Amino acid sequence: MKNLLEVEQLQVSYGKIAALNGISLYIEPGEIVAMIGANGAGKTTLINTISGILQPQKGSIKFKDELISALPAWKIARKRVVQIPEGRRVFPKLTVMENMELGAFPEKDGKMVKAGMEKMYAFFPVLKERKNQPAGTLSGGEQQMLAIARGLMAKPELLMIDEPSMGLSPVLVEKVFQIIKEINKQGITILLVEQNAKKSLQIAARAYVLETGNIVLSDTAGKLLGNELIKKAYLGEH
Amino acid sequence: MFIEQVINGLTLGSIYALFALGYTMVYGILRMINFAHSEIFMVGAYIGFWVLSSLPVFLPGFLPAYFLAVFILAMLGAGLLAVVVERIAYKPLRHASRLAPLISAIGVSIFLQNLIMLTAGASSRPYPEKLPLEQFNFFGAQVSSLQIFIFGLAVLLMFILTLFISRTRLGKAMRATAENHIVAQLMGINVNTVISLTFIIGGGLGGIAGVLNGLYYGSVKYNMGFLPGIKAFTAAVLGGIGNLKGAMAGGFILGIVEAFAAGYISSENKDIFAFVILILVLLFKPAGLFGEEVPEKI
Repeated sequence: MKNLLEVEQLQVSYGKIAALNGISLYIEPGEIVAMIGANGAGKTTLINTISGILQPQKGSIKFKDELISALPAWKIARKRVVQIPEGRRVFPKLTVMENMELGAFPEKDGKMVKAGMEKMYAFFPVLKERKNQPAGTLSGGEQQMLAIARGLMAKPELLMIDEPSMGLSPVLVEKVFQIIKEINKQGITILLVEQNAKKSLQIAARAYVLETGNIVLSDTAGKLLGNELIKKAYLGEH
Repeated sequence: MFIEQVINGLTLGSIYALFALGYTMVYGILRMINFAHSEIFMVGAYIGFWVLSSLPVFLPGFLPAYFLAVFILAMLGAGLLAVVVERIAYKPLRHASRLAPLISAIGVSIFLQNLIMLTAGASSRPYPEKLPLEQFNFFGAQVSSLQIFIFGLAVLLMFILTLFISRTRLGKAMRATAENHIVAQLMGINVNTVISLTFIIGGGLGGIAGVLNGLYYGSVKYNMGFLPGIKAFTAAVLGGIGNLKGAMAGGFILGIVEAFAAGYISSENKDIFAFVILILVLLFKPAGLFGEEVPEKI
């Protein structure tokens, strides 16, 4: 197995409207791969299809050489392909602790769950302070921390993070990207979907550029940072 | 008189509350009003009736075990029926418009009523009296052993349900699914299993409520679910549909209102009050006493 994830000729549409026009990509173990593109380019569609929430019309998704594109979402999650959804989407009425426990839902051993939770509390002390609070009462930044912690509770092999910087202050954005780097250092492969191209290219190894359902560019992050087209379209430099 | 009506109200309320939980749990998970739930209650009552009339009590000392068996069979039968109904009549419509499963539920309700009418007869049948009835004096009011039994069993079941929902892994998965099906799936939760579990528990409690209703009123009939069904639904709406504690409280409030209306106003028109409450709640507090969401008008 060279690649952890292999997507080939993936085609997804909402009714008659095509969202992804046969895109292919791969992710090697241990990488951070960024997927950049404007709103509506198909980034969220891509990770929702990998997660099994959307069904592709054509193409295949392989995780560790196993075809997963026909599996239901809950089975894909149990293969440790984990998504941290856009807009955080914690369970607002459940407490912080319950949200984290649900992240580890497939794990039936309560001791393992507890141990994982202690690790997360060490990582995000604010969550420990708020552990008995309903998640809906947390601030946006705290909810993002919780969503990340909940995702990590699943012990992911591939972690897909959808727009982690959305709605956060610049200080928090900085912190979230630091955390993502830290997570990756611990050996978790990451697919980062972001509108904030600059930040993601700074931490990624490689990146793909998605435009209206097509991959228009793919290269190492360093090269893309220096690419004139990218500078113009995504980095706001002229 | 006053204490007597409180006792009557708590007894009735126990039945309504157990019954209402099925409506509210299914609504919480699927945002759908399961109008076939009143027939699950009726079938539960019939299962109890069949077991009680065909299975003898072997020894007097076996009575508690005997009744435990009656309730477990009614609960399992009603719970399984509820799951089968969900699989056949609701699951294929999960992505259809919200009116479709509602109509399907009414169809199931008509089907089950007619099925029981054709197989068990159209007339009312007396419920076997196998519980020894004793009367106690409670602050000058009469209370029967059956009333104490109904109230005690209902409170016990509600306590177990509350613990299950709030503490266990599956209970948390149910609450997560109620909040967001898609995100629940991302946690590795099989939403279909959770939905089945909801119908088993809700249907099972409805089946037990049916047996209690049979024991209390002493009869079963194919259409016995209709009126209590509307009252239990009212209890669920009164408490805030989707909210478990709301359904429990709503059930007891409705039972007490009905008992007092029967005692002080008119026992012939006691059924009107459930409808009056339903209309008032929908007009002035559609989210119910404990509800946060406003249910859509259906």
